[in-house]
Amino acid sequence: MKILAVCGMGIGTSVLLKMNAERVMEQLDIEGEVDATDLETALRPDSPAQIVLCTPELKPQLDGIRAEIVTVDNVFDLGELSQKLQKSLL
Amino acid sequence: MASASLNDYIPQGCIEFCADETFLQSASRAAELLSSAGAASSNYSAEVVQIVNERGPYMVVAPQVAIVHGRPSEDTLTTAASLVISSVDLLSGSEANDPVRLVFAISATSNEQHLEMLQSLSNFLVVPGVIRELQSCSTVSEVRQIISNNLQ
Repeated sequence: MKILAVCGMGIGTSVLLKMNAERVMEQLDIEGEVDATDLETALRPDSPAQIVLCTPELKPQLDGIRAEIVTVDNVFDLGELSQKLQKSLL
Repeated sequence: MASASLNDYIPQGCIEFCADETFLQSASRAAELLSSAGAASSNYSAEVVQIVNERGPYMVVAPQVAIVHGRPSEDTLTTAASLVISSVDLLSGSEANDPVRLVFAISATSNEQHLEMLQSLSNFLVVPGVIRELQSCSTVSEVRQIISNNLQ
């Protein structure tokens, strides 16, 4: 399972999303790789990601992407992340 | 070696209370604190404002919390964070998380230390209740105390 955590520059929000998604996936015993990246990388047509994590304001900027977009309102709410990742992954 | 705590990444003078009127002003102020501390270039606040204007408030990552930064660049000076605590509700345009009350700025690097800093910031902000606790502070030393008391 290839997951991309996406934000504008790939060094702030996306890194926090990646860290907490990995934490939750470990708790749920889900195998997968999460990379933090910027919008441009996520939008490449050859992107192998199956799921893209981002905050809601970026969703319109990811329009047309092949991967499933999962928006996260609160990056620090592990419960929200857990619920949304389980819905998409299990 | 024990990893550095979040307080170690926030230089002296980089925590401020303010009552700016807009989200952009507070974001800009948080970035200026990093520039004043020598952790970012002098035009860092302009970069931060530009990114918010270009991309929207995606950096409002939790209720009341924004984490702003500029473009990653070779001349970022040190890995550091700053915090502006607003006494007024700031409207960023984030549907899920407005109003903003806490604006963290981080210097824009992507090295190992940067990841450690974000990890310690995240380890702090996942602790339930800390966002409310920070808002009840009236001195910088109270803020520092809350940060050092709540590292998961």
